[in-house]
Amino acid sequence: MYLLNRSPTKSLHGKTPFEVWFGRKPNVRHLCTFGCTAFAKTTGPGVNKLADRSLPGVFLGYEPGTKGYRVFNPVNKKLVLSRDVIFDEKRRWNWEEKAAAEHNAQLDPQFIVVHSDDLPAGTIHNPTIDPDSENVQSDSGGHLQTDGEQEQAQSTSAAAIPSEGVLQAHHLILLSVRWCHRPCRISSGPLHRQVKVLIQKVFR
Amino acid sequence: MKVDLTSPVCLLTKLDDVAWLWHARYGHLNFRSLSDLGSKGMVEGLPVIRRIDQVCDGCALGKLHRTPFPQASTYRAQANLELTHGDLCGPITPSTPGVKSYFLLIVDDYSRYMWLELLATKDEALVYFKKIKTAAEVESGRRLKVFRTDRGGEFLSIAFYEFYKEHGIKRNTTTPYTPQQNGDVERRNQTVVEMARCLLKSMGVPGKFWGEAV
Repeated sequence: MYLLNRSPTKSLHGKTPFEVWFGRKPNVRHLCTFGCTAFAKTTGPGVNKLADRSLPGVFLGYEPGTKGYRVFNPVNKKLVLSRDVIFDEKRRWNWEEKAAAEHNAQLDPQFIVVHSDDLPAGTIHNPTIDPDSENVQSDSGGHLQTDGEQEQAQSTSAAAIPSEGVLQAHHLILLSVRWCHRPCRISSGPLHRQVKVLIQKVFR
Repeated sequence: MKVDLTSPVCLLTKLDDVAWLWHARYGHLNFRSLSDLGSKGMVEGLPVIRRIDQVCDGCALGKLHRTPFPQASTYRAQANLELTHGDLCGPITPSTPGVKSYFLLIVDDYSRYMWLELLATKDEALVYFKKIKTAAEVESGRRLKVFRTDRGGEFLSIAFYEFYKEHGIKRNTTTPYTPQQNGDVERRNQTVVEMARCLLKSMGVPGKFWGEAV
């Protein structure tokens, strides 16, 4: 609207709607590319000597009735009204970057622990029974009783770390590997055994 | 004096009968073509048919089409606010962060100056029309005289009607289903939406910010 009132129209010959309405020519020196990255001066209390002097945001137009630009900061979701703005008109705001950042915050690699048996089939080899803990009685609940699990538990495989190719295929990045003990009951006998399960921290 | 009104009798019925007969025989061909066929000797056995200006029922039912629209309006306002065009556009998805999904666009016929307000629902049209009208009147020092819209329910409400009456605004509405008569603002709608779309797309701004771009 702001721009269209300052644009030529076929029915007015050589004049803009602005000129006909206000009787003077519009000044367009202040125009800037919509949606470009803009740095608005931070003002007000709480700005100390070493604080950032501006905050980046997205330029979203002109505030009516004020000689100021509207700069939206997608990070703190605030609209800043400022006349002290530096524009980087060639640079778009990376909206995905923000979305990605949010996404990453939810999936902080520090807190992602994927059990080997949670990964897609064929990703990781069987959990391995630790020979040392065979005779250790389990004292906690949470028995793993699925048939697959039992079979897996019985087979002893040493190569439990997935290969890089497998990880890449599932878009996973291996961060660390550790062993932990899980109680498990083997179907053939009543014996409760601790089973060593491979736990990987992965970054999805 | 008592006048007996009877159905009009054409004194040239005899002649017309031939014309009508051939009109029917020729698949309701129009009379201009019929007379051309006869007078220019393009076919044999067809009498010369006089052109008549009567309406054939069959033709009226079978051939009526929309009258062409004028390429340019015959009337242009002579001063600001003499004639304004208004239209409501939407709903636009996604709605803005302020849950607005419509916009009201008003164009001044003389200056082509435009005002735009974002609306959450259609019934807000009156509130924002008042706002624009008052602001425009103060700005120009003139009164809004005629407001032309389509027959959208929001413009025909009783509240709107009362407002028109109170302020002496003359209301122009288009014939039903004839947006062409409101072409001024309809075309501008298109321009506004196009520009907003371009602004958003070119800089990769999410769609919900359309309210800032219009």
